[in-house]
Amino acid sequence: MTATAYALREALLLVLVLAAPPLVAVFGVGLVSGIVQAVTQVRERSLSTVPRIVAALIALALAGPWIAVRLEAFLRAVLEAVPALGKS
Amino acid sequence: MSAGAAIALAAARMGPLALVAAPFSRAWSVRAVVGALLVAAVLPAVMAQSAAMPAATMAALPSEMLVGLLLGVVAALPFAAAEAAGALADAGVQPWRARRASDGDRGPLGDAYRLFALALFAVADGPRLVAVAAGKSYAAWPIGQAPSQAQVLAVGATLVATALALAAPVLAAMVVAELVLALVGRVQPSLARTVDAAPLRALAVLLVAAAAVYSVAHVLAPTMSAAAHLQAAP
Repeated sequence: MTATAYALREALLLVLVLAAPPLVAVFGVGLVSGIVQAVTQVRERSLSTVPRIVAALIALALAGPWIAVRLEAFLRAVLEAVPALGKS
Repeated sequence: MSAGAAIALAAARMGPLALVAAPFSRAWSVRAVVGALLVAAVLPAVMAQSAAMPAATMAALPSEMLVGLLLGVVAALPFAAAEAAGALADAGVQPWRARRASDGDRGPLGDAYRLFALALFAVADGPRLVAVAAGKSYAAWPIGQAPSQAQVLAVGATLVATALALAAPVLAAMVVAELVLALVGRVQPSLARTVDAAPLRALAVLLVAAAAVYSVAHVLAPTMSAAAHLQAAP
């Protein structure tokens, strides 16, 4: 049963890890575009939306292989740990 | 034991697994087919085990369903994690767009992560792994020997404690992020209007949760150990 709790905790950590690349990229781009809009006094939603989406896609494209490795490793570990779930 | 009873025992464990595990599509017909295939895969193991217990079929059904439910939750974990990560990323990209979980609206990145997880499941030979795990579950939990009520309660208590311990630093990070945003708004209102608050909150939550997860695990280790000892107790 400890293995079950461990798997759930690892799943929570995996959520954080998988979401981090696009979120960090979106945050950086959003911050820069916000500063640019504040400085230039240009207020246009598309000026922040489009770069954010592009940044998220680029981040996913760059981090995709790494995300795939983490997700596949977790998938295999969880399914292969089934016999351990019945032991303490 | 008759073949019908063995099939009932196998279906009692594989049914909840096919129902709960997300990779097998959300269509009932697909789940029924997957459940039937899993029953066929584990039937030899069930018949071999149940040969020694000729009259305990009905009594073992609830415990078999409990084990199947646990297996389903475990098999669904990677997909739930991928969907949650996608939803979190969606919240950063489109913070103004309200999500309605009841409509199954996960957002584009939520869908992308889910499809990505499904593709990985196929590439990683996931269906075979699930079938093997289902077969091995009969060695881990022989028929009729499901976790006792005390064990289930102990694990539940551990999970609640884990959730609370993980949520506490995250909530603290959100409060600090809100304070920082409020201060920025006070000092420079024009900057506060244009800086996106949602990605900042999400980033703060991610950083704090990532930093806290191992210390939380260290704090929770005694609780988990207690749960394991409860399980070992008769």
